[in-house]
Amino acid sequence: MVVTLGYWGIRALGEPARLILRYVDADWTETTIPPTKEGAGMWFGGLKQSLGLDFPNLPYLIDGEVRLTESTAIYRYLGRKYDLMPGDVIRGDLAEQLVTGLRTYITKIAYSGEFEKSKPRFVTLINTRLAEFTKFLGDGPFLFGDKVTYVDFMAFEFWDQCRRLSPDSFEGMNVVNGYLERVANLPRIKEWIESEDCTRKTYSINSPLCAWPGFPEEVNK
Amino acid sequence: MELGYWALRGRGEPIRLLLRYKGVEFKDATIPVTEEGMGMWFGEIKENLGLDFPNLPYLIDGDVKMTESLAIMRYLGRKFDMMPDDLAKGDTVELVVQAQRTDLATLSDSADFENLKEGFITKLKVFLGRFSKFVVKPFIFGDKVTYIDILAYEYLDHIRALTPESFTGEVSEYMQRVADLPNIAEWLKSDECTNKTYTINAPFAAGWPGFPNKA
Repeated sequence: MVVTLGYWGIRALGEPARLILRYVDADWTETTIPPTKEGAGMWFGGLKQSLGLDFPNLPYLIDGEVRLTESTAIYRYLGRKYDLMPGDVIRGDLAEQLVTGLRTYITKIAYSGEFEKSKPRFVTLINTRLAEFTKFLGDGPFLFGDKVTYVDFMAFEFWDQCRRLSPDSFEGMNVVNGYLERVANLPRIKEWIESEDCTRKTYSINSPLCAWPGFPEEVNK
Repeated sequence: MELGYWALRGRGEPIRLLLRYKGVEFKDATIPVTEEGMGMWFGEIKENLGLDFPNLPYLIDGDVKMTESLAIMRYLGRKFDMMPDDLAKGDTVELVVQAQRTDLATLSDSADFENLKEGFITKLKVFLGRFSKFVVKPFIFGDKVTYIDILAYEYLDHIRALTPESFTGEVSEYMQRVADLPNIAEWLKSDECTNKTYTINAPFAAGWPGFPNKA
């Protein structure tokens, strides 16, 4: 049974789901909506209301009878389906919400009318989180020890988005940087990051039209 | 059990409401939304509770020390057998309800509140239509009251204070069924009910603090 993910052709909230599906080598396909006027016309013009979704939105996931929206609900569903759940459910939920919060900060300032004004506050928040995550990670190797979980793919993606917005914050953050490198070196993730089609090379982080699209860096590898 | 939050409804009230519904004895470590209270929280308490990610609300239950309002609600949902059977559907509706409250917060914090309010209400009506269809009845997932019903009731009540005319028919009836639950009904009618005294948002919110109506 093929799992279908639907999202805009950007990273934003879709990328953690894509990372999970690649990591577990799932049988999956994507309906990619171009982040353009035409794409928006396609989505809002008919596709959105035609998929049998309870609360139509992007991203969406269709897996047989299951039809989901809300990015975190999708990540949790994939986590349960592919055995990527934290053993400690309580700390799992806590870390998941903190990592979701990282993306919320980015959304707020990228889509607000006051990017430059908001940025210093964002940097302060990120620096606080980096210190907290350093303690939470401990020796790792992953957020919950040896077992890779869906939260690791959320963290991997959203920390990278934060790094693009505030690279200086990550100077000397050895514990977090080491952790991100370990996730980047996971089987199938490593090959993906190095491939020509990797969305880090081809997709903007946010909508191309917002205050901070986060277009792909020049990758010198 | 100890719950810490500001003396307002905001993200803490669903947790308080769930604990009251289950008749749980808890220490309501409320922090006044005053200069003194903020000085106390940021100056003395915040970094000294042993929290991984210090913030409000926090919950301390024996060895368990939590922050993040949704993570706390899920913890209590599991502890008190208030989880939906269909976890995937539960997650989706939990998060759309959360998103509505976040949209209210964004609107309430905005100095441009008057101009943005209409757009918020338009989106809200779409959501309420979908939510009404989703509710199995009597509660979101049928007969079983879940933590998501408590979350939804409280957050919808916040939004209803802003735009009461948007809450009619099925949504209004759903909210009344939750409000009529044992312990919740008594709380809402009691003299101590802080809905009479607490703001919905921070009292200094630039757009809409949500002061309590004189009942």
